[in-house]
Amino acid sequence: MKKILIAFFLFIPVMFSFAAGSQEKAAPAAEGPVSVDFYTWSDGNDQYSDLFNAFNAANTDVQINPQYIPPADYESKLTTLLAGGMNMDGYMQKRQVDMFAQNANGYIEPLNDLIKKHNFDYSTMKAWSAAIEVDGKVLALPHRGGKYYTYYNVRPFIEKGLPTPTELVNKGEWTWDKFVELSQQVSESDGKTFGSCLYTWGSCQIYPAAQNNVQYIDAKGKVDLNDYALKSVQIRKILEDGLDMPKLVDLKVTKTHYSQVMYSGMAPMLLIGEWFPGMMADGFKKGLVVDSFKPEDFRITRLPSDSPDYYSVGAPTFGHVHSKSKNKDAAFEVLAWFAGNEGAKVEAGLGLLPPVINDDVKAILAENILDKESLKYFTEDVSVRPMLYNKYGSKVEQLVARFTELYLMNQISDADFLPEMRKELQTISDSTD
Amino acid sequence: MKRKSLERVGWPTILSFLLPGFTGFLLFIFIPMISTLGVAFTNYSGGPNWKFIGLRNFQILLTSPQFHQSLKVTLTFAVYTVILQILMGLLFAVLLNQQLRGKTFFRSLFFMPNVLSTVGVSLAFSMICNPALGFANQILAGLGLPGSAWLTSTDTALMSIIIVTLWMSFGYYMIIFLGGLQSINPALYEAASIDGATGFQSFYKVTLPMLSPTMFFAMTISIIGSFKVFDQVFMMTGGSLGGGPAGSTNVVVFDVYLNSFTHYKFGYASAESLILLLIVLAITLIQFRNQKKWVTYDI
Repeated sequence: MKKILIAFFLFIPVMFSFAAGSQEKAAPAAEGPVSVDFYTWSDGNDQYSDLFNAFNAANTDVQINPQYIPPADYESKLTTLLAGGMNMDGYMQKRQVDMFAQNANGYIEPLNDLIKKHNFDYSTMKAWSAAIEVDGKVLALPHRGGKYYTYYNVRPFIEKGLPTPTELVNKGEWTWDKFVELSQQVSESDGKTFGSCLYTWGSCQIYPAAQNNVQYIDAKGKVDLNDYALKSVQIRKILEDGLDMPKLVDLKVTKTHYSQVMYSGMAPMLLIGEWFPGMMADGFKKGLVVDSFKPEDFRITRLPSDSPDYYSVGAPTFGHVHSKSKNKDAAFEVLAWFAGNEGAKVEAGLGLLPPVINDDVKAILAENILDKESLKYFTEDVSVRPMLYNKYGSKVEQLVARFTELYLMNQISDADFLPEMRKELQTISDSTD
Repeated sequence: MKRKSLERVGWPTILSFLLPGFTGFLLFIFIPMISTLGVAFTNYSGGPNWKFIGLRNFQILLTSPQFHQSLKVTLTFAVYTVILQILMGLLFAVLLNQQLRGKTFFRSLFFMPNVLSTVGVSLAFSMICNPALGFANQILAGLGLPGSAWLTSTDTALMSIIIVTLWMSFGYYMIIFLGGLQSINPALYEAASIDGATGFQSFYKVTLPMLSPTMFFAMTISIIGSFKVFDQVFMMTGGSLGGGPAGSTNVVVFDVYLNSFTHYKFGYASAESLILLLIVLAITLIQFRNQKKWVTYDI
């Protein structure tokens, strides 16, 4: 009897833990709009909350019940929520390569049937198909295009009598060597005012390599490296050593956000993604930008490129329908609205690059991007190569970041860089299921 | 009479008292511990599609340069931290065990960092250690000394974290040693004095042996704590961006975090945790085994 009692009491907590995980019964259907729990990274007062509010204002049948997670914690909390079986209808993907692990675990609902059922015009998404399709399955719909650009403050270039990056693009001379040269020329080289900035993310160190289609590890697990992988970090080292670019480790350790680099006038040139015009608009509106930098001085053009065939790099930002959702149709409607013309207008108004570009969108973007040539380059139709975009992506990005730091600190030589990296890439490939 | 009434208490009553504590232990300690052990032998990536892969995670770990580096960083951190924590804790305990004016104030002052949030302290020290604008380099400049790169160099990043850890924790060890010092029988010092022992001899022959159980406890706690370090590293060296320069501050627990929440390699991360557990366990067991040689309990 005593043993039975002990066993019973030991069993109670186990029962509780299982019971907690089994409360999945759908709530009875209520009158009114379908409410979808949609997760994103946001502080509740930014572009994402504005986007969600705009959806709710424009739709009556479906309403988003926003679930905001602070940006810094988003990836880890989302992982925990998915693994814990949280009820969610849809979610935004902050780190795009996470899609591969989530797909392998069956968290993402393939959208092919929903696209047909809702007559969604998928042809408008073809530009992004490489980023959102895996083995013929459409796993996501984008709400933001994915391209990287050169952003700059034109004033220092004019004051120093230098050509602007846009002028060099127009002449076909905006190469990576020219980027280095122009950064050196516009820089004060005093360790305070630099010429240009590449941010700290591993992906930001490999633009030239990505433009030249260097995959590091391709989707089949084959190591793919060439001299561009080295050239990419050499560019940064030359500029850091000459005090023409803020040091990567300084930016990282002092947690200096890339927006601060432009806001504070630390560097007049920044190579970053398509969301940045919205950040600049916000900075100008809130008075965060130094007085000498006016909205009309803000310029956008292509990334430097060594090839006559220009490629930008990047991947769109997208959302998924959760495979366990009980409101898949409604969650799809949310994604379709973000990816469609109506959403595009709202996104353009928030300073984001929508996944679809048309004249209406351009007109709205022009309210923030005052320079016509900048708007032309921002909205031009160019090919985009995703960076480190497969299931190895996060590991390779971390490896790239570590090797970049080793190289910048003279702890690995030019001769050893590629062989050592190749060795570690092979280890990643061999040890990833 | 009391004994009889206790004997009458039945098992249901006893178990109902044990249940709340046991439930917490089961849910938050025992089950996660067993899960970690199990997950270490799988390729679990945060979802239902996983398989048993035997010892593969351990095989990869043993040949991984990154894991070797994180082990080296952890051991370096542990050696410096444990030695300095014990020495500083002991030194300040001995100083503040004297009849000094304001000793209560100083005891509180030195203990205070220990009750502060590691996150807050780490953020504050990130600013203090800013190479260009930080307070630390301004002080050095004021003294006519060259500034340090602090967290931005592979040579100094780990040492900066060790300094902050020491600042936060030595007060705790000081309090433990103070407790130990105050429990030493004054008659022993009196006897030593009568025998003509100097201050140093009293310290060496009386204080240290009498303090050895406290020392043993402090060392055990310090070693376990130093192997588990994470918060300072995460906050001070750009955690989500991959840690200190060129992996120079990437301790094992930080590597576990990266492998779990950045790379979705929960199985691999669990295997790392297990290896860390085995290392800490081995060191602790060795300590327990060797304590007979230097720990004095019998006076």
